[in-house]
Parts: sequence; structure tokens; C-alpha cells
Amino acid sequence: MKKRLASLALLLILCLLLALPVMADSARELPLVCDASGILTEEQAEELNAKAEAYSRQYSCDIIVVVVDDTDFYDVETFTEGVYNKYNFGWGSDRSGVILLLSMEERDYDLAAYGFGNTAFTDFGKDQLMKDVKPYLRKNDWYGGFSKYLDLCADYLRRARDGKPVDRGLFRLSAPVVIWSLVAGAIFALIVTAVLKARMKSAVLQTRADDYLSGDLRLEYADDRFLRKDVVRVRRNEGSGGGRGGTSIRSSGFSHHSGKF
Amino acid sequence: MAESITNYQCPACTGPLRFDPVTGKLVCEYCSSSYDTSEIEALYAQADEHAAQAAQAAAGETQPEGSHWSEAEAAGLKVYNCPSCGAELICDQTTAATSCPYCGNPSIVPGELSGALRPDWVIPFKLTKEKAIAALKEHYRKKPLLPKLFSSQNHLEEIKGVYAPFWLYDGETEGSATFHATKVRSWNQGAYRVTETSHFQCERRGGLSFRRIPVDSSTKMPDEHMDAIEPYDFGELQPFSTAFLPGYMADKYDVDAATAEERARKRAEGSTVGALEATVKGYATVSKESADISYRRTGSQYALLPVWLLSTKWNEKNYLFAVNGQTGKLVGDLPIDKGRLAAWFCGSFLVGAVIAALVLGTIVF
Repeated sequence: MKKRLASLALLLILCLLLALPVMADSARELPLVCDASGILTEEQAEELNAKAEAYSRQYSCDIIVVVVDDTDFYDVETFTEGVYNKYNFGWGSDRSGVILLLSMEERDYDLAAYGFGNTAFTDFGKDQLMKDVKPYLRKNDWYGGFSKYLDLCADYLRRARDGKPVDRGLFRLSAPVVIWSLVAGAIFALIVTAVLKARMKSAVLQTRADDYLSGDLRLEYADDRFLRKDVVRVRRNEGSGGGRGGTSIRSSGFSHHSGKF
Repeated sequence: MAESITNYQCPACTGPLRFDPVTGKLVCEYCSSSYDTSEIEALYAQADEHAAQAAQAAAGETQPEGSHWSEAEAAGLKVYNCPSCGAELICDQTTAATSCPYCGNPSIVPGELSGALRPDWVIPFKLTKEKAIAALKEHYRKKPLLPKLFSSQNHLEEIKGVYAPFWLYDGETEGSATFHATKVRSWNQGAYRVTETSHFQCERRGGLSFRRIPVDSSTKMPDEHMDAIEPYDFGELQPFSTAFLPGYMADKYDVDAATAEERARKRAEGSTVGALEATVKGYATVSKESADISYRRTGSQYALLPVWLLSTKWNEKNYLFAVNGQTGKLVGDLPIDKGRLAAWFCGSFLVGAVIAALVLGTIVF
């Protein structure tokens, strides 16, 4: 891990050049938007970094984006925690922050939170946030994706500050909700009317004569032959988050939501 | 002689006797005396030779596919023809037919009994007319799509008791069927959910025996209605006697035993495939791939089974209801109020959409 982080530090020299001056109330050693894979232009990185700084200051919580080529032998969640700790990310004494780390080679992502970030970014909230961001990342629209991520983080932090963090049980009427609700309503209505119509028709032909059986089945031959076996592997919940609500915080103090983009 | 046999007269007062479905006895309309059918039959035994033959069959003899009416019986029966639907109805001299029980046509005309076979068996009416009407009214209940005026505008009093002609088939099936079955196993493996589906081909061979599969043998009687009012309890079959006819009409079969047998064969085959499928156990899914079932008739009999029929007209369309005269089971398609259907669709659409929005908006998205 140490070796890997050292090489990462070298890769981040470019980012350091782009970085804004480190804020006094944050001891972080890297800019908030740190692109070690070079997927953003300088202008884009500067613009996003400025936006991240502004939001972080406004809500007293670091909003971080880190892009690396790969995570070497480490899983993406361990690697993210290592980056967060190594480079002293986090705002204030409780080191509040939320970090989105992309590993470009495996196209893995991890969204991790710490301190007040764990309050603002619940398991459900992280899942929702990535549902909105991933479409951009899948299209390699890095600037659009990170910009959306920063805006959503600011929105989540504002809600958490108001005492209503985005969590399971909070009603959210989005376009997909409306569309699927209309479809579900139509299906439900068709089923109800079909059942009612079926009750109006009771005269139907019989296809069996079970009432007139004389004795049991005379079974003369029975043979079951194995033909083949199909195996389907489906990745469980794209994100590792989920559950009934709230935030699942590890002993390390971090909460995570990871997956592929 | 003929009248003395079929227009059964009360031995006490010589008044006409009618069959009472509640007591299962013949009741005198004038002096209220009641008699067992066998008692009356015994009195007329010499003339009613066929009743005696049927009684022998009850003791275990194989019956032919109907026999012929005796001259005495035929003379005591009346035949009505419906010029509208072609129904040919038989009743005794004391029963007056005023309208066709199938189509409601009031202009039915008297005719001659000709060519019809005498039934082997009969199940007497057990259900009274009042109970049949009550069953129909019950049928209207809890039907939200039924037009409000339907039940109030039709004519319940037109209900008619009809002995419907049926062929009863004894038979055996033999054959094989192949089924495709699957077993499904799922487990978690790291970040993946693994689902393993094992496919099997299951072959079964066997057969079934059937006793008295009923198939209605009148083209006027809709097959769907007659199938749907089943089952009948054939333990109550009695050798046919015209003693059961007073007060009711009997429809004459117009589909012969060989033609009607096709429906019995299909049902027997369906049951056989179902029974073979039921032996394919321990699988998550089972679906039929192929079946080759042969059916062999071992016997057939001609029987009259009791049906209360109501033909009613509403909005220029005929609606026929049939009530099993033995068990009281009622069937019949009802009209649908399109306005009510639309209202139910809109209402359930709104309810479904709101519930879905609450669930999806809160939990999923």
C-alpha cells in the first residue's frame, strides 16, 4: 500500500500544480479534484476544483474527486480510505468529507464518506447519487459527471444540514417514478378489470374429467433424464451500499458505496 | 292404458300426480297423498316394461345405448317443437309447455314423438324452482360490472325445469407424455449471485379408467353451460321412468353417442396428461413437451340429468342461465356495463399509480 501511495503521489504532481491554495481549516495535501489519469483538461480540472472548494467551504465538508489508473492489488474501498487518510482530506476536527474515487483500468468506483459525510451521505443517498452520476461516467463524460457529482453533494449536504438527509423513506417524485407508476397503474387496472370481467363469465368448457375417475393412475414407466445445467452469475447490487436506511459505518470510520461504471 | 301409465293417477282419488323434488316422491295435487316412484311404478308394472328393464341394469347389467319407448309410454308423452331454435321437447300429458326454455320463444308447437331413444338413467330433480330462482338472484350479487337494470328488467318467472340429455361414457386411457422440468439453485459467491438451473426430461407412461363422463347430447344446450354445472353425483342415478317427468320437460338428444364421444375423449386425455404430470415431483418448474394418449370406450349410456334453465332477453340479446337441478350450481354469462367497466378501470388505475408512486418514490428511485 505504501509503495502504491508513493507512486500515486508522483502521479499527482500535475494535480498539485493545478491546485488552489490549501485552505487553512483543512490540512489536505492534494486539491479536491485530483485527476492522476489525465481524463480532464486543465481548464476543466481548475473549474471543478474551484466549484468543489466553494461547496466544501459552504458546507464545511470536503467534496473530493480522485481519478487513478488502477488500484494495484488493493480493492477500491481500501485504496480510497488510504488516499483519504494519506493526504489528510477532511474538513475540521472530525475530518468531514465525501470522496469519489475512479479506477480507470477496471472502471471501478468508490464513493466513501467520513465524519459529517456519513450523516449527509447515507447508504441509500450514496446509491441515489451514483444512479444520477453513473450515466455520465458510462458515456465517458467526465466533466459532466464530476460537475453533477459536486452539485448533488452540495444538495445532499444542504439537506443534511437542514436535518433531512437523503435516506430511505424520503419521498422523491422523479421522472422514472412517474413513468413507472403510470405503467404499474395501468397494469393494476387491467388485472382488476380482467378479474371482474372473468366473474361475469361462468360458462366454460371443461378440459378434464377428474370427477369421473375410477381408480388411481396406473403408472407403468417413469424416467427422469438430466439434460444440461445453466449457470448465470449476476453481480449483486451494483453498489455495496443499501439496507433499510441510515449509514453503515465501518470501524475505520468510513462508509462506502462501490461498483462499476 | 297409455294414459293410465304415464299420467300417473293418485291411487286414492285418481287425481294427477306430480314429482316433488324436495321429497323425491310423487304427490297428488288434490288429496296431497304422496307415493314413492317405485310404489307407483309397481302399480303400473305390467305396462311399464322398460322401467323393469332399467331396474335390471341398476343391478349391474351393462346397458345398451338407450332403448326404445314402449308404445304405452310414447302414447302418454307430448312433444313440442320450437320453430325458433329447433328444440324438440318431451313432456308428459299433464305438463303444459308455454315457451321454449332455451330461447324463450312462446310459439312452440305440438309435434309427434319419433325416433328418439328411451333413456337408461335419470337423476331426479332435487332443487326446487324457488331455490333455483334464489340461486340466480345470488348469482347477480357482488357483480360490480352488472348493469343495474339487468336484474330488475328480466323475467325470473320464465325458469323451466328440463331434463337434459347426456351420454355417459365409461372408458380407459393409455399413453405416455414427456415433460421438461427444471431444478433451480442459487447462492452468493463474492460479489455475485449465482443461479444454477438444471434441466431434465421426464418421461411417464400410464393410464386411467373413467366412469360416466357426461357429455350433453343436445345441440340446443350450450356445451359450456352443461360442462360448467358439473359435477353430478351419479350415485343418485335411477333407472329411467316416466314417473320422474311430471312437471318437467325432457329434451330429446340430437347428437349421437359416436359424435359426442369426441368431447369425452378430449377430457379423458386431459386428465391423463394431468395425472402423469402430477407424478413429476421435486422440480421447480414442469411443462409438457409432448403427449400421446389413446382412449378406448368401454361403455356408454343415455341419461337425463336435471337442469333449471332461464332464458332471458336484455337489450335485444339472449342470456341463458343453467342451474344444476341436483346440486344447485348455477352458471351463465352476464352482461357487462361498459360505463361501470370504464369507471373501475380509471379508479383502479389511479389507486395503482398512487401506490406505485409512493412505493417507488420512497424506496426504489
